[in-house]
Amino acid sequence: MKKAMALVLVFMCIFLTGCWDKVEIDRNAFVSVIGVDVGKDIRNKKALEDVKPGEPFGERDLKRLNVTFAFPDISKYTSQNPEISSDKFVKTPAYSMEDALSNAVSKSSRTLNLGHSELLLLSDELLQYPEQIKEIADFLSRSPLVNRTMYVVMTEGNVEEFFNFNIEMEKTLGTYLTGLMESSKRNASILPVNLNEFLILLGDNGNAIIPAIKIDKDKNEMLIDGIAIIKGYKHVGILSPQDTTVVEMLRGKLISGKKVIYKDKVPIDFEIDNLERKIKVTEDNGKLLFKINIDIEGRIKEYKVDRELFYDDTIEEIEKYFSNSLSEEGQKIARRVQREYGVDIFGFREQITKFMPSTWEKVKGDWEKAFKDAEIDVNVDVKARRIGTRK
Amino acid sequence: MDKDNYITSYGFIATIIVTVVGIGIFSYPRELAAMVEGDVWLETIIAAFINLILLKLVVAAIRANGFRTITDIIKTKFGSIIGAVILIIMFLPTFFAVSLGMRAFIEVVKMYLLSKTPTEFLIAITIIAGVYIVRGDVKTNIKFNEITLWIMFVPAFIVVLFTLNHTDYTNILPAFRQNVRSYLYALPTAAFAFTGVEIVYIVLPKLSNKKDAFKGIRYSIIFIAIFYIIISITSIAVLTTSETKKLLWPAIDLIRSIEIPGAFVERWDGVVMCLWVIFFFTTFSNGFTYSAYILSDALPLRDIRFSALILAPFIYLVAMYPNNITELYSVIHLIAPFNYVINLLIIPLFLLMLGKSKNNNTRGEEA
Repeated sequence: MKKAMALVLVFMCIFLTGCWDKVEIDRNAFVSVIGVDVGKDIRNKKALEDVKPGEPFGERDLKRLNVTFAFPDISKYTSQNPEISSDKFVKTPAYSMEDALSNAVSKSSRTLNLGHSELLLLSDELLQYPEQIKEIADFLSRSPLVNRTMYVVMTEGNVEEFFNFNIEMEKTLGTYLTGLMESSKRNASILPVNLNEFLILLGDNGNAIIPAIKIDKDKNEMLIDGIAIIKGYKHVGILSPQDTTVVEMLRGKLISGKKVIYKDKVPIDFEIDNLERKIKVTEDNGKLLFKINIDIEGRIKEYKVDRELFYDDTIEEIEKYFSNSLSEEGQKIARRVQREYGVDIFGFREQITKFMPSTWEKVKGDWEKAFKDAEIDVNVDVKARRIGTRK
Repeated sequence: MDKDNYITSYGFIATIIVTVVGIGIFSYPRELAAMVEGDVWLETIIAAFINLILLKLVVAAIRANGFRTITDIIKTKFGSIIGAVILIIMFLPTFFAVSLGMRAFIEVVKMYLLSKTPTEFLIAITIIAGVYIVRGDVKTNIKFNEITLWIMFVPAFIVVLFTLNHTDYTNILPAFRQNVRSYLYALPTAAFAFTGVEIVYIVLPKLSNKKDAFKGIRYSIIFIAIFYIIISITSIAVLTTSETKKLLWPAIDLIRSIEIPGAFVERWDGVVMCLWVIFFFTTFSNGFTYSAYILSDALPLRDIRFSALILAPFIYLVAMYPNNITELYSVIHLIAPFNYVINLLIIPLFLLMLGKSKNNNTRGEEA
């Protein structure tokens, strides 16, 4: 009996040592940034036209995409000097994302792990090709390993330029941009969008908004350049960083931000603490009227030392100026987005489908037209709750 | 507490809950959202009612037969040969459901956790683990269920809490906008999500407090329904209805989209997936016990350990049968109705009729 037990134990030692899914940490490259750009064959639509689905040798050398995987260089990382000095790159042309991944693996000594990627960069040129965007979105949503919480950003210009750009503040692009996104709680000029949100927005009707970045060559700076509007899987326009704050306000998403008005040649700074948005939809003879009511609470941050704020009517007056100025700004941008792009980025469609399903039945046939023809009325009510520590 | 009636009310409730809630929860939001959009909660509530009615029938049937074990009842009523055939018909749907559920579980594991480990190996070791627990008899199983109930649901509810800052509960609107037909079509799918309740047949006769049996069943069904509703609604609130419909396992992608602000550990889905292995395992071990228990009495094996060993290779074969995930889910949907019609409708009705007519012959209620 004892011998039998010993034998069992010996066999266990022999047979249970292997592991199919072992992950050696030093054989892995944890991709931090995925950059996707157009390849030189992207315009070559004919190449795929006469390929039949059952044809053998489907693998062909088509360079439709240029994909870059960046991962932190941990070779110099020690416990004494716990710092990532720079990024390393694997760049590969490919006909699809999966092809890019397998090409990259065959080029590198490590396994590429997409589970911890922080950032997905899509170039503005790539966003001119809706079919490619659909393929990429499918890859990202089908793969069980891709990190669904990474941020999605559009680059104005080649993705490569951004990888090679020398950032002052941080050593790597991934850390810099994710840092920017996360500080959006204090800086409302960025609208962070993660992959999960991006896929949901795209999956719904091919429309989405993502932040855009650009490189200012004169000043040698990398800048946030507002919001890229994607319509039907295609990049159609861009809203400036100043507009971003207003767009966020209209979407009811603004967490905090700063606004200014000039009164008697003095700038009065107002910091937004809280925001509540309500949309009211009414229908009149088939024409929709959207009323966006926004309640803003905040504090006055700066005025002038020889003036006092500590009066009911002064504050009321300032509140009124802010309300008017913000209402007008909101109205203008809402109109512009509506007329120029015809993309509903404010959530009107959701509002109608959720709360007015019978109206939705009527307009869903041509929602874009209904949206373009609709009347939008923005009404902001500002309340200054605090004025700092001075009268 | 006497020797035969050793199951406490808590053990009874825990057993029903952990047996029913299994791997199905991952795909449940998709299956229902595809049919009734945001009205998943409504369907779940109706399905829970249907299950309660069916279970009331089961309890009444067993009570009418003096709370004897199901194998005992059927064998005395129908004789040993016809009885054995009936018992085999009874356990087969559960057996298939358990085996196919195992395949679904292995598919999830292969997708998210162990992509290179061969399917055959994963199935084999899960069966071995299952055989181990089944050999301990029903008693061991009940104790295991009592422990795992907490291990399963406490983390699950904590995970839901972490999603709260990403949710928009208005996503379940508009309510009641689907046509009647899709509500009706969705109903079987919702009801079959409670597959596993037939475990009542083998735990009820051993329950110590038989008077409150139905109360326990009611609690467990309500608990399961609430859990299903919470997971489905959270999936829809985080992922929206249209995305929930498109994902194979929305409940997993729900966890994948969680971001815990300020936490230094990323990607919680791996941790949660490991915990949720237990969700499947309890379903499997209880379903396996049910099958082995009935089989051991149907064929005169008289020992659950022996029947467990006989069943093990068949579980493997059934689990390996579907060619791909699409086929797997269509076979699963094919099996579920049999289980309901046979175990929860025909058998209890028969037992009720026969039990009433021959009540004088039985030994009366023992409890």
